[in-house]
Amino acid sequence: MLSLLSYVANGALTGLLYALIAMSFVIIYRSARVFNFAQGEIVIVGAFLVWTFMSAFDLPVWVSVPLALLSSLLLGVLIERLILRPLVGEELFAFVMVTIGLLIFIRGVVLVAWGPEVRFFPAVLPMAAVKVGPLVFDRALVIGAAVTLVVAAAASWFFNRTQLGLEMTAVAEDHQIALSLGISVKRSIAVAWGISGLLSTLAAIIFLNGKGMTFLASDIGFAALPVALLAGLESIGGVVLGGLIVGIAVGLAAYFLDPIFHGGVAAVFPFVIMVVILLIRPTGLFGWKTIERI
Amino acid sequence: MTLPGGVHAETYQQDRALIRTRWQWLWFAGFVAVLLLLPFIGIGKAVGIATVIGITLIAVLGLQLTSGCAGQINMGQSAFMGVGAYAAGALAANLHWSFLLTIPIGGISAAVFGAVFGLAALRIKGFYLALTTIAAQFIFTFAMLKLPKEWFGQSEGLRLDPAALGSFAFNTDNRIYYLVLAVAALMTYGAWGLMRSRTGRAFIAVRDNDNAAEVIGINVFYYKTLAFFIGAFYAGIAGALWAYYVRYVQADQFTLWLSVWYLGMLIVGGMGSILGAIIGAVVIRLLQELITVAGPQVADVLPALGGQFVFAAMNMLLGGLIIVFVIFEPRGLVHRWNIVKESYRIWPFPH
Amino acid sequence: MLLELNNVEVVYSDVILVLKGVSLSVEAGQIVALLGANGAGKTTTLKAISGLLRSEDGKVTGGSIRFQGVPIHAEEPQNLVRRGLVQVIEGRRILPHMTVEQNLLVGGKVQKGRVERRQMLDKVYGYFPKLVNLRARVSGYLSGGEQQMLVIGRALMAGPRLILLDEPSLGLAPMTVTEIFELVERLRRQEGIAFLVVEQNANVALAVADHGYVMENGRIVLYGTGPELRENEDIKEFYMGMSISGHGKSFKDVKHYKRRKRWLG
Ligand SMILES: Nc1ncnc2c1ncn2[C@@H]1O[C@H](COP(=O)(O)OP(=O)(O)OP(=O)(O)O)[C@@H](O)[C@H]1O
Ligand SMILES: [Mg+2]
Repeated sequence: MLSLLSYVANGALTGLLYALIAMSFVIIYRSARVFNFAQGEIVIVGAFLVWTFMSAFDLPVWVSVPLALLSSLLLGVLIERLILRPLVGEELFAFVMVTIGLLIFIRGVVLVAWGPEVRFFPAVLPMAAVKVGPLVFDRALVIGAAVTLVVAAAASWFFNRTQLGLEMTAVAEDHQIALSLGISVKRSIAVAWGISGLLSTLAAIIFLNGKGMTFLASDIGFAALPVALLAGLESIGGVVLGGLIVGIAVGLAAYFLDPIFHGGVAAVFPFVIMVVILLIRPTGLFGWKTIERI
Repeated sequence: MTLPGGVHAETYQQDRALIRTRWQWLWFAGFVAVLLLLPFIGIGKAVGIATVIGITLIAVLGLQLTSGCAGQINMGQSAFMGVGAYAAGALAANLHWSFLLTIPIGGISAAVFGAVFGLAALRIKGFYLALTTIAAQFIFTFAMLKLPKEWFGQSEGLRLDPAALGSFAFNTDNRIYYLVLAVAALMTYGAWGLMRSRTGRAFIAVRDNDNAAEVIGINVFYYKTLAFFIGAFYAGIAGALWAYYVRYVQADQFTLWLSVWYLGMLIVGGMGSILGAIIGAVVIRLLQELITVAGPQVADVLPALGGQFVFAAMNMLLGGLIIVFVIFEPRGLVHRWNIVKESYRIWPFPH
Repeated sequence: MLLELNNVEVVYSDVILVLKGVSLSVEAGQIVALLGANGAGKTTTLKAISGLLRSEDGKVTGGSIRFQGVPIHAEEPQNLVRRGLVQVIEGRRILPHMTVEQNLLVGGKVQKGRVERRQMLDKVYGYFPKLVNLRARVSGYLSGGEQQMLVIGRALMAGPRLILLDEPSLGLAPMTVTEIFELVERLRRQEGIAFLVVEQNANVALAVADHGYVMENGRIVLYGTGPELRENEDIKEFYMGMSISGHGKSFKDVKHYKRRKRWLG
């Protein structure tokens, strides 16, 4: 019983962390209508940047982390500028392929720049376990969940209440209307890529805190994918719920099914839920449906 | 197809034929001769490389039909290939069926698995569909590693005897090469015929605008499912051949990365044309070989690059190629090739 | 002169010549009607003025467009909106998942700050009292008439000198159409805003217009004051005749082009 509870609670926390990465997908998708397959690689670049500043250059945390966040923000803007902007107006396939190309390319660059060795990600966040009653949690995970909730609330407020956020939502709805109202679509998309890059590094810090990592850690991008899709690619709040749903479902599946299958359920189960939900609601639970009025 | 000046089709048959001038015949005959004689003239690993290219080509042709012609983005081609390999492998390893049966069955099994995603494509569209096909990959890997050991061998995989006809076994590189060559030729011809048929035109209508296709009376549901069915069938055949080539099947051979490479071949070769699939498969595979050979030597000279240089270079090359082609030449190498061909068309008389 | 087009030529995708020399002018505070059959190039003319043309792979290849005396054919839309030139795109294009008030606030993008934006919002609600009760509603579910009010209100939020209004009557009931044109007339009178209105419903448009132009095939073929055009036999036959008797083209036949969208071009 206790271990079931612990599976579910840890699942929920992990799910929230995935939601943070899913949010970085969603923010780009909302503005640019592009699903960035390379998001996982941007997470890993952020992670290596933190590692480089802290472990290789020996800079203090309070310099390294902001520096890494800033660099990943710039990386996002740069990618948009160089690779995505020339494709504006092209078909879906072009965007799928170009971000896949980017994924493969960055992976090669990461390997050349940082090599295949296991690097120990510095413990930016406290490592000690958190005890809540009988349950034990990884402290970074708890902090990560809290950060996700705060970021989601902030993003929700930003996109629905502030002028810049509303303008970016307008860009998400319809590029041509946004243009006709005097909004710079280009700038909105660039801002979105920047925010997304920043969130990726934030997620990297929480996810990899104090752990060993290689370039393969970018798989977290694929792990977060069901969360983003199941929630629907437009909804920030939905992503949090999507994360919780996936996390808890995976916790339950791991508890009940892992003994039968000898492990491995956690990797595949989110995709199964995702396919089932998409078959019922093709734009996810909270994604924008086309509103049709005749 | 544009014809050189002075050459006109006089009958409908002529007009639909693939090869229409004497020069084209000559080129084609030369090409076939080289393929047939490759084991005798081939140097080094030529036969092995050609075999892998042949298998790759079949999978990429299938992807061309699903994604290039019918416009359904498919990131599960490698999983479909795996299904074919496992189906053929299991029947061969456990039940000792003939390859004449197991290879088609491998194709059909993959096709059925693929068609499930065709059904999904009716409701799920765009990016959502592309991402859904990624699920095929994860589900495939999980299933193969978890299904009973007596079926698919779990993490140990399957070991196969060579394909055999009576006492003749395809147990050497040269023999398996001819098998792959024959199947690849057949499948290429099939894809070529399909593209020019009613079905091919329906695929293109679905790709260009599925709502409009529905309006002009095309059964979009049927054709989307069919596109996945046929595309996955090709993958399954490729997988089954692969199983007989390496005589060992394991889930790790069929990763998401392989699907990505196949998509990359389409982009580099050219979307929507058979020749594009051929050019893409050949060029990218050869480049891979080149890096595999040259990479370690470069790494020797510049040890700072690290031992993973080959892998890294491969990634940077493919990733870079995809990006460059999508941005600067979205019609692929086949388009370049057509331009070059135009200018040599009426050789030796330039315009 | 507020707006002046001189011999404007427009080409789409570098090959399709759509406007073949269009000249027209709008003075401050005027309502000017632009009439013409489907495909005549009316929408293209508006987009050439507002700068939205480039996002559809179109280009002004000849002639000149001046707004308040300054050439604007190469200006980005956002600078034009800031200077007081806003287009209301045809087809009541609201931002469907955003609320009415959010739609309006987005329209106030070029206002200096929060306070000015709020003031403008109150003013817009003053002109469109119906929208006040709908302010928190998701705009995708509004009725056609309400959506048309919303898009005009949204354009108003920019505090424009000139509004380019594309087919406001499309698919609306006669009552609603009358209401909208009364509003246009009031906005001109009370705010001094000029309008360049594209209309199929020539009768209603000419009733409020100071003068009007008729386009055919990418050219202006007729010019006159509102009353002159209303009395013109050709106009009666080709435009009003149809819309009054209900024969010929109905509004449902209005073409919808599927365009390759190059929003940012
Ligand atoms: N983006 C585009 N690319 C190519 N041709 C276009 C484009 N947009 C419009 N056209 C063509 O330009 C011509 C004029 O179109 P336009 O939309 O300006 O007509 P309109 O007078 O507004 O017609 P309607 O009354 O039907 O709205 C049409 O023949 C149309 O096909
Ligand atoms: Mg129009």
